[in-house]
Amino acid sequence: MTITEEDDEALIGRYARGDAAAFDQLYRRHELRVWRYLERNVCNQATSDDLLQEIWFALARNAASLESGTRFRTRLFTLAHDRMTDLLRARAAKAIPAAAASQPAVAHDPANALARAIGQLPSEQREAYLLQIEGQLSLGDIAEITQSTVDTVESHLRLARLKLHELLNEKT
Amino acid sequence: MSKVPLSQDQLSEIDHLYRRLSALDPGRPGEWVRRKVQAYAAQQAAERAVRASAKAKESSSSEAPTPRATAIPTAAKQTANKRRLLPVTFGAVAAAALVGFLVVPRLMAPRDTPKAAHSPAPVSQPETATPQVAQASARRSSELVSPASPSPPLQSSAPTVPTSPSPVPQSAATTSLARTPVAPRSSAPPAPVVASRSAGTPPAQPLTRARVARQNAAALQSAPIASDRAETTTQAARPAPPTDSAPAPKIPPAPSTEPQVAAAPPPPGATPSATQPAPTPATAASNPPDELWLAAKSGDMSGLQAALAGNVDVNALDANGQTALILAIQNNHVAIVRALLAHGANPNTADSRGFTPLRVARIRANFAILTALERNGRP
Repeated sequence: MTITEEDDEALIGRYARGDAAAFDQLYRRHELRVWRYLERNVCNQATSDDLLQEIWFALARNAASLESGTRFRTRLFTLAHDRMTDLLRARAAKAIPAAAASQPAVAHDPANALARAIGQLPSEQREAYLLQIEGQLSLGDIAEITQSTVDTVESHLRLARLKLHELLNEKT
Repeated sequence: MSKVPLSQDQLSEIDHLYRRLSALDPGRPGEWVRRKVQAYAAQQAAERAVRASAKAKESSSSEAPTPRATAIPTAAKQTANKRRLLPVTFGAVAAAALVGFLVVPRLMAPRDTPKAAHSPAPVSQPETATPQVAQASARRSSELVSPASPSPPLQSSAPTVPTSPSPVPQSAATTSLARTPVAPRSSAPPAPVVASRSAGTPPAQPLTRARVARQNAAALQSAPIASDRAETTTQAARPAPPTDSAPAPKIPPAPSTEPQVAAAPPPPGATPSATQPAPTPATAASNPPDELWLAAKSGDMSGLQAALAGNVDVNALDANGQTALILAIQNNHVAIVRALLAHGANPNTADSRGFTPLRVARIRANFAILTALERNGRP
């Protein structure tokens, strides 16, 4: 874990010094986790693709400022959270029908119980859980990203697990 | 939801289950995303490498015997610029002198109406230092004055006075003066000439003449300062016309916010001397930080420090409703952000859209700025 984080920092440092291959390696390492975090929150694969692209573009642009400071993964998911929140806010402002927005694209597959169970979680619980399970972030990092307290995050996570336990056990 | 609290094992079991089911999920990001990201990252890396090599070249060339080499071209550039500017300067001075010869006799003519006495306000405009500033001030003053003021520069006064002996030379004079790149000191005298002449004329309208003389005196006082003083002189000249001329009732309400703010301060019935230098909230808040916003936007640290040296409101909003701090964040000027924060910029002051500096920094994904902001307090 710590080795991976060090590697992330080293990779972004190499990229900041002009090594494009390092960025590619970084992208491949985190691509799927970030995409899942986005897709299970926005419930749309195309939108998740667009967001993923935006996030990595922003990282590529600001690689120099990423070299020092907090962990790369925390920054990556902070960015993902911010972009996604902006999108969801814009979507709410445009009053896009909730059914279209909240129904995951993969939920049409009856076998995919996980996507449906995640989709049924309240947004705060879902986000906290996905940040932990996909981002492998600490409670403090999640609280920082979601701008809440550690206690609140802990509560969201506990409730999310309870609900998932309930939903997955009755469907699997 | 189940009422029975789950044990730690059961909770971790859920995570295992999630991972197991997640592995079966065929959902993947599109391949096009990877291609695009790779291409963009490569492009950024190439640009960064080019920038770094250029910087390295610059630094290596400046370290070597280049102090002289760099000094010579700049000196040569300066002399070339001076050479280029000389004819312009002479031309401007000649034009100003010509205008003085043309305009002063016209103004001295006995048929002159009181409206012609308003000409000093625009005449004081060319006292600016550079052509850009002159044009900007002319533009800004016309923006400020034109919607509401009945006595803008002579273009509008000429049509309103059909009996005026020479509308064409006057307007030509003002336009040429407004565009003169160098401020000839000889252009200042027309104002006192008008004042003295108007004071000495037969007492057809004694009250108006006296007021005009006072306005001219005020205009002369404010003449040496460029654009902002020109605005105040036009504002100072504004209260006079409603009392004695027709255009006053035609004043429409100013459409935009800036002219409204600028038009608001002169109290009804106030004397021009009272209204002239009054540092209204608009001028106090907007004019000084202008440099501040520019410096924050462009990343000009010396400009910023110069702007901060004055007593400016660091948290003032610009015309677009953004603070200097947000402008610096938007343009990724970390040093400027730190300097602004050190000078008391509030990291929680939102712009007109409601975006706080912290929010903008997070959107920009500039973590150096984020760190600086967080060190200076969060909401």
